Amino acid sequence: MSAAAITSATPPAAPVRTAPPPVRAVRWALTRVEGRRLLRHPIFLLGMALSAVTLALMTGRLPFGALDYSATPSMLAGDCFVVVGGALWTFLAVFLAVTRDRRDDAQDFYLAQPTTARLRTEAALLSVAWAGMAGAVLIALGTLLLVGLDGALVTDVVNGPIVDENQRYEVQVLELFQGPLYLVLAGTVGVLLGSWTRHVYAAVFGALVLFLPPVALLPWLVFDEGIGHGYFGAIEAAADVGGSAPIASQLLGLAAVAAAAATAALARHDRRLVVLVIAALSVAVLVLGLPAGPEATLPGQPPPTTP
Amino acid sequence: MSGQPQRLALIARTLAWPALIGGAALCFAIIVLTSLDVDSSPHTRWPGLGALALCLGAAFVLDDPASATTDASPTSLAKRRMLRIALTLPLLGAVWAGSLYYATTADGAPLGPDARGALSIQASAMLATTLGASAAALRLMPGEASGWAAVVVPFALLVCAYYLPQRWALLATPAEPGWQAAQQRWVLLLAVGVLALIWASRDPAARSRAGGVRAATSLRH
Amino acid sequence: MSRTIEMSELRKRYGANDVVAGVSLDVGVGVTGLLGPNGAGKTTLMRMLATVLAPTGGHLRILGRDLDDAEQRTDVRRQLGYMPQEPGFHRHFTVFEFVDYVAILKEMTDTHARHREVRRVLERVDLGDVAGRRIRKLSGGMRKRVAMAQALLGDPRLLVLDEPASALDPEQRMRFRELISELGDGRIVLVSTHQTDDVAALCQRVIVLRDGHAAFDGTPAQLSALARDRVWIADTRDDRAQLSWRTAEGRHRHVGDPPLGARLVSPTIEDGYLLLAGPAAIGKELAA
Repeated sequence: MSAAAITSATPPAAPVRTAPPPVRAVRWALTRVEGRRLLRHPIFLLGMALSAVTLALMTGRLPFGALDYSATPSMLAGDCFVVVGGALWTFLAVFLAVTRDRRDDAQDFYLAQPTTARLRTEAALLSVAWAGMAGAVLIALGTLLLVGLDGALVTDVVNGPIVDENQRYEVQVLELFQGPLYLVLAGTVGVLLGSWTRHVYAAVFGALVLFLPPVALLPWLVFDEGIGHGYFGAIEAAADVGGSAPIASQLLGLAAVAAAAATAALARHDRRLVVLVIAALSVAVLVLGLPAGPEATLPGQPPPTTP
Repeated sequence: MSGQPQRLALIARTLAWPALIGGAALCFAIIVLTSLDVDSSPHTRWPGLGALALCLGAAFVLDDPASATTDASPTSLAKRRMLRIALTLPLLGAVWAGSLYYATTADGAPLGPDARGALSIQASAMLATTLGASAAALRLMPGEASGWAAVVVPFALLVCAYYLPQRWALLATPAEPGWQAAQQRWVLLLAVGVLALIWASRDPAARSRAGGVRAATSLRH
Repeated sequence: MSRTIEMSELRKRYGANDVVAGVSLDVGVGVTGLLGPNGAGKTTLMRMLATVLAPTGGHLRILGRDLDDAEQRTDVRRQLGYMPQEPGFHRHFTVFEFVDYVAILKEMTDTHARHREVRRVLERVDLGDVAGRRIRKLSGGMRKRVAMAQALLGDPRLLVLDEPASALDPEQRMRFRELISELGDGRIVLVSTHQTDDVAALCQRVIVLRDGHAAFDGTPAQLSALARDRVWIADTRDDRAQLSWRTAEGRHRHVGDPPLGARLVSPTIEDGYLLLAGPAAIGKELAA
């Protein structure tokens, strides 16, 4: 560059200094950025891809497959996110996002800013909703493709679609919220762990212990299923249940666990929130301990025995 | 007295022991607890789940924050990595052997020596592919910590083990007809992992063989 | 609003070690340089002034705000630009993404205005052409400029720059001097550096830290003057000098007590600094 070029032209005008914006505007701006980054994160995308493959695989939609199409209802009810699907990878992706300031030694940039660590944690928690929305889109697409608007199961999409009118599945809309809510729960737990430790191996072990069947402890702890139960038992049970009350209580239970995890993450910045954590966990335990309602089955299946 | 023990002690200090110990503890806990659940399926009680935990802990073994400095040392990259791995093998081996002592067959009986040998090959294959992936990640993304990239491999192996179709199955019990074929696939994976580790541990400053010959030829003229 | 930094017996202790051992200074508008040997406490002091590290003793007021109060500390951060000595980056972010992210943390919530500001600061540090490049693909000097760019966001009243010119090539150092000179108009700019020629070119005031204390506080000319009649040139090395080195012309430059008949030369800031805080410092009484 020549000496003449070194002398810079008149610099563009600096911004006019204004009053600081409201906190909610900052929170929302951060949430949007974090949510968009989460949707583009390769680990999250891997999880969604695995969920989509699991959805197709477990319902016999690929040339090689595992089970018959009667697994469709439970897959749409959230099992596609449980079996090495979206939940585990959402947890990891969110953990990596929340801990990036400490892992990259960039904390000095953050500490010198007016935005507090608590606000950043709140934004991270809210950004997990983007994962839930992505899950909802996947479930919606899966429902349209595998069930259709008339509720009849599609038995062969690859060569069809061939619709079996004798297997008409009554889609319970509330059921379809379980999977996305489970993704939100996974992300919230990722924020919780990331608030307390930056070590990647802690997250990796947490993913194994909390989310990976058949050793996943999260369903076991929350829903009193024994270790070795390969799936998110309550979701699977709810998929067989026709009544809306048990599904609603399931959703409420999931939401309560997520709320407890979120509050525990915020408790890192405010110890008074520990009380709220205990309250939310109590709600979750009470709600999930309620007995299931009357059961409905797919046509042609024998009615399940009442325990 | 040579400086080898001192060197080993110094290298040991650079290893991610919390990850290794955490993985070892999880491995033992998973295998013991799943073995106690006699109603669960054989696949649930597959000790490979414990091996997964071991591999997740071992995925960080090759991460060296000082690599920018040590890469210029006369001790080759391959030797440095072999030393790091060798230092972890006693812990990994002891935990694995202890875990297999508690592992059970489908009908709840203790495992026989053949089954333990086969399962150890499976675990070795998972470990080798994890370390191979870690080394490859370090070679392709120098300066980055590769542990988190390498953890995808044991998870992917688990997915494959549970969901691959029969003709590529990795999981089979000794009573099943596909047992031998499955074991051969594990041995193949072991070889792939070791080869990947060797390939990725070559001297990063070495030119390719073809380039070296051309350079030598040009110097003569 | 006050436009100064006021420090009174400011301290920072780690264990039994006083890294900053009672610094009392007022820093006003203009460019102030902070010099000192390694371990003198420069970075610790800079971090306290940047509100990322809490002092263990003394008082600190910045722009009229008391940093012990959380609200006032946040208010200071709204008017602060800080460039750390060894910044860590999110290497997978692009340059634009990283600076944009910091801009959000600086409470710039309007997307268009924020992006406009990000582009402005990137142009200021000559990174406009690489805004879309990932940080891991940048050289060390370019990463330093990314750190400088984020410090300029929002046109802060106070700039705390910890070794901003290290890793910059000569051309970029000239641009950096030009930038700092412009920024010094109407702002408090505190620059920590090892480059005495940058101090000579930029600073209206120099503070030399030694062992956690302010050993000197004055103008660059006054710092040079500490070495008046104490710097001489000779053809061979004189063992009586406190410091000596061979120049590019092959002669020897000495700092210390000159012998009779020595060929004295004009001192530089570096000579004054070396007498004050160098390895053979004898200037404790000079700092009074």
